[in-house]
Amino acid sequence: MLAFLKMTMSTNDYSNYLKEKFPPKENFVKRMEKLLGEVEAKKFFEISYTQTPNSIRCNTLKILPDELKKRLEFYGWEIKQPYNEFPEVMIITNKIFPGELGNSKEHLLGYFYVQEISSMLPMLALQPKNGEIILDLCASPGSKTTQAAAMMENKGTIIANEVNMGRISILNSNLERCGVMNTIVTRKDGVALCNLLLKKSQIRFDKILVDAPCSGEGTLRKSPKTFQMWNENMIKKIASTQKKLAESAIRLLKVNGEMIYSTCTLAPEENEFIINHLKEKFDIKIEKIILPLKSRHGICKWEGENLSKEVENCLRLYPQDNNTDGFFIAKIKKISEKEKDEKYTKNIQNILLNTL
Amino acid sequence: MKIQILDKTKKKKLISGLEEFGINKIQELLIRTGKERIRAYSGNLSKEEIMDLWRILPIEGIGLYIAKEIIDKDGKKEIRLSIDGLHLLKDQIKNNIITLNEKQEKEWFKSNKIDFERQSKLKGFVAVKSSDEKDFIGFGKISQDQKNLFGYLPKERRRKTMVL
Repeated sequence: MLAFLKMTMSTNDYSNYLKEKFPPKENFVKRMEKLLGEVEAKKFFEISYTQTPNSIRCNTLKILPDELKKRLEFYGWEIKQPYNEFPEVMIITNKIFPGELGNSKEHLLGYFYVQEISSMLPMLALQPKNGEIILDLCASPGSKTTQAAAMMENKGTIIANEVNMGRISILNSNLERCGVMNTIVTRKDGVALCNLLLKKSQIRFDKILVDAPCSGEGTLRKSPKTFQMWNENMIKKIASTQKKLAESAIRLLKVNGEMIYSTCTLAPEENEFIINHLKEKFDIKIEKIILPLKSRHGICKWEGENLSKEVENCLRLYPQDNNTDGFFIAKIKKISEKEKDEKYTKNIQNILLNTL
Repeated sequence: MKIQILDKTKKKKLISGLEEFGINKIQELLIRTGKERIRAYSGNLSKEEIMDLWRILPIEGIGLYIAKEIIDKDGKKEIRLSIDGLHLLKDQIKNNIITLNEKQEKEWFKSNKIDFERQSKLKGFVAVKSSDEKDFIGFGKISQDQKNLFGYLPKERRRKTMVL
C-alpha cells in the first residue's frame, strides 16, 4: 500500500499523508525535545515523514565500483559516490520505481546490496580485516555480514548468528547472492551462544559486532508504523536484552579486540546507558569513531543521571544531519579480562554508605 | 545441519565431475551438507575447529553453496553447479557455455523454459551467459531433443513481478 502511494503521490502529499496517518505520541515528542531542543526536534520529525535516498553498496567480492557504476548508469540511473575513501557506497539520485533496484540483473547476480548508508557505518567503524575472526551476533538480514566479508576479501572467518529460523533463510540467501565464503551461520539466542562459546570453545574474537534489536526510532522514514508502536515500556524492556547481549559478547573478545555496539534507535537507555554499564563492569576503553559524515557525540547526562565522560566518544547520527536514517554507534576496546562482580561492588558500596 | 568435510580423494572425485567445463581446481575447503549439497569454505578455521564448533552449536550454513550432487534417471552421479558456484569458478569455465539473446535472457530470469529456434549443438548441463556475454547468469540443462533449455535459478534470484 505504502509503495503504491509513494509512487503515485507527490513528495509533499505523501509526507502529509504519513503525518496524518502516523502522528507521533506526545511522550515521544517530549523526549526528543529534551534530547535535541525544540528546533532540532522539529527538524527530526519533519524529515521522519520523508523517504531516505536510494543507497546501495557495491559488492567488491564480485565487481569493482567503477564497473558497477558504468553498468547502472546504462539504465539511466544517476549514481553519486559521496565518499572518496569508500567508492563502494553509492546513491541513486534520480527517482526510480519500487522494485526496480531489486529486479535489476546486477542485484540478482549479487553485484550490489541495497543498504541504507547509516547501516553501512558500523562495519566502516569496525574495519574487519583479512584473516581476523569476527562475530556478528545479530546478523540477519546480512547487510553488515556481507559488507564485512567484502572488506575481508573472503578471508578470515565470520560467525554470523541469528536466532529466528525465518530470518536465517534471508541471511543465507543474501550471503549466497553476494558470494560470501568465509562465514559460518549459527542459530542460537545471542546470550546463549556467547555463554556456550565461552564455556565449551577456545574461539575468541578479534572483532565483534552487536547490532542489537532496538525500538527503531531511527528508522521511522522506512517504517512509519514505529510511530504507533513506540512506547517507553518497550524501550525499558529492550534495553535489558541489549545489556545482556553486549555483556555476553564482550567476554568473547580477545584482549585488545574491538567491539561495535550499534542500534538504529536514539533512546539513551538503549545506547549510552548500555555503554556506561559496560564501562562500569569491564576493563574497556570507549574509542573515538571517525567517519566522513556529520555526526554528534554521545550524551553523558539524561533524566538526572550522569554517565562516564568517555561515553561522549560514542557517535549519534540524526536523520536531519545527513539525510539518512538515525543511528547510534559505540566502539569498545577490551583492555584486559578484568570484570567487576556487580554483587561484590554493590556490597562494598553499601558498607561504605553505612560507615559514612 | 549435518556436515562432512571432503577429504582429498573425495574432493578430487568431485572436481573430476566438472572437468567437461574446464574446471580442474577448487582451492577452498569443500563441505557436504545434508545428502547432496556441496559448499566451499574459504575461512581460516581448521577442520578440527569447524567440527568442534558444529558439536556445540546449531550450524545453519557454512561457506558458499556451489554445487549439488545428483543421481540421474540411469543411476549415474552428476554435478550441478549453483549460480554462485558458477561465479566462483567462472575463470576456469571454457566449455559447455551457451549465450542467450536478449529475449531469452528475459525469460531466463523469470525461470521460464527457453525454446531454441535451431537445435542446439550442446547436450546436458550448460553454463549460461547473458546476452552481452559479460556475466554467467546460471546453470541449465538442455533437453534430450536439444530444443529447449531449463534453468535452475533459485526463487530469490528470479525477477519478481511487481504487485502494488
